[in-house]
Amino acid sequence: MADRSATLYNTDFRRAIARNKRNTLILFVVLLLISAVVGYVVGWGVAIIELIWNLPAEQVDQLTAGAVLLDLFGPPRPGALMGAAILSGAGLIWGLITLSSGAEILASFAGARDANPDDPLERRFIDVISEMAIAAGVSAPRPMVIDTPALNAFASGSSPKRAMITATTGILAACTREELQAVIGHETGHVADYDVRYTTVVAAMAGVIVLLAHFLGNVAYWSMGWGGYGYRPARSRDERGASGARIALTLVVVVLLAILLVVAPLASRLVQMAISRQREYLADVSSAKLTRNPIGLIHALQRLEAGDTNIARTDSPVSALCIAAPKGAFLSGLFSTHPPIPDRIARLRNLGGIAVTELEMQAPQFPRDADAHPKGPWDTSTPPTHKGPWG
Amino acid sequence: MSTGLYVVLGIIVLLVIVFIGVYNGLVAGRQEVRNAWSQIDIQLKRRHDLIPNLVNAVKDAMAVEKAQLTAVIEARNQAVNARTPDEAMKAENNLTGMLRQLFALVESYPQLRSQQNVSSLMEELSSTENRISFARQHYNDAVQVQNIRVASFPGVLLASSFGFTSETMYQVPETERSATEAVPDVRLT
Repeated sequence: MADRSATLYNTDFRRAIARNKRNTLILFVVLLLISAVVGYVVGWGVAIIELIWNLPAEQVDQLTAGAVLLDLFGPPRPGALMGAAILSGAGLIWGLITLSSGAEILASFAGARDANPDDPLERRFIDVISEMAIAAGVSAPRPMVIDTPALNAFASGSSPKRAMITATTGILAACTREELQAVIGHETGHVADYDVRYTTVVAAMAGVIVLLAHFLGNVAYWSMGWGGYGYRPARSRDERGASGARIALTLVVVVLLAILLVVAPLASRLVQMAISRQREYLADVSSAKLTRNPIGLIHALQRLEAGDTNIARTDSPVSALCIAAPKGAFLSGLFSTHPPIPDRIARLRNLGGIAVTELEMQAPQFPRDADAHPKGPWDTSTPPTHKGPWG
Repeated sequence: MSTGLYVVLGIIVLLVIVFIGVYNGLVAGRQEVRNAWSQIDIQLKRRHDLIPNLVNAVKDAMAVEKAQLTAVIEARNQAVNARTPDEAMKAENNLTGMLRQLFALVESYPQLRSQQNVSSLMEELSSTENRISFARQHYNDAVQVQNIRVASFPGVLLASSFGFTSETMYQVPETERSATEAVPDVRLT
């Protein structure tokens, strides 16, 4: 064992750390660009609509939809620049907030609380976190707990010193100490190689772009209504003809904005998927490195696969951080940030040539049916009926 | 002429940067090894502090096992009072064995396990046992990384002239190795 482990576990966290720091920076810039583009287009839209309604009637009649849309790529309008500045400025501020307290933000998204050392199961959780932190040579992350029978865990934070490891009461109760150690080992791996910085920034920033799109969508809806009520009665025959053209041109701009508001969250979703599946495999290897016990993780993953892992809606920013993707959602395979559990188990079985036998694969007895657990308010085993456009 | 000068200057600057990087890497690695070693000591200290508490908590209910309890305390005192590192290592290893037996014994007293203070002490002590072994494991990981750095290019060019030597791994003694396979699983759930 000693010789094989020498080559197998000789993974140095430092290269992963450098890669993650660089990727976080790139990502930060990309998300700022997305928000700048959104701000620019929205600002332009507001400016151009205002212009259309203020132009003399004979000029409006000569305008075509193409000409209006081409103006977007013409010399920048002050309104567009202002929109870009406001949104990218807001993005920058939000990003800095994320870097300093992203873990806390995500914890409150997920409804997590500090672990209670007087509860035996949570005491064990706190202890296991300390053990894994020692094995990885990092300071112990803050233990957080979500009260739900679902099985899941995630790590967050912008650096190991500010990291948190959050687990559900379900997973704390369901796992043996060995399995819990493997799960926490996986999360500690994310912490030690700065995956958490990257994923926390992605989750918090992507979450905000989605929120922003919802917000702007509401503003657009509201202002269209307002525009309808506020539109001035035509002063002459000419004016009456022009207002029809004005409404048509305004609609063109509004449709463009609507498309943008749909595309922006999707783009941020794609960025979120860049929390690559590779990271999960690497964290699995880190877990095996820290616990020297891949079998514990195999058993834990089997348990997760058999159980209910829904702690949040799958489009929630938290879902990308979890040890197992919340399942059962529309397009969950396509948009999944996690590799399928059987693949992860297969890789663990073959890790460094240590073949895990079928016998060792047998997990200790555990309830296969999630119904054995009492259902709490968090239980979402029936998929939510309301879904956003990207479900 | 001047182009050649710039090239030479550029190469020198590059070499200095590489030198600084390699040297800092070696220093950081050595520091990591030292930190890892002191972490082991911290956990051993924690173990020494916890043992008397556990023994006090169980001594009334386990009056029959007085000899066993005394032996644990003695082993603990030996470890605390060890002078040389070699002595300390032997005493600690002895203590590890004694603690395993003690855990197994306490397990056989269900009424003890159900006591809150005993079960939380057991959890704390078994976690400490894990921490000790993980701290040793981390020490060995750090040593391994540093030794590779010292022995491989380009570290090997600087290591010997600046006094970086390969570090020694913590070895699990032969007698303990077989015991490790049969480590009792303390379940408190």
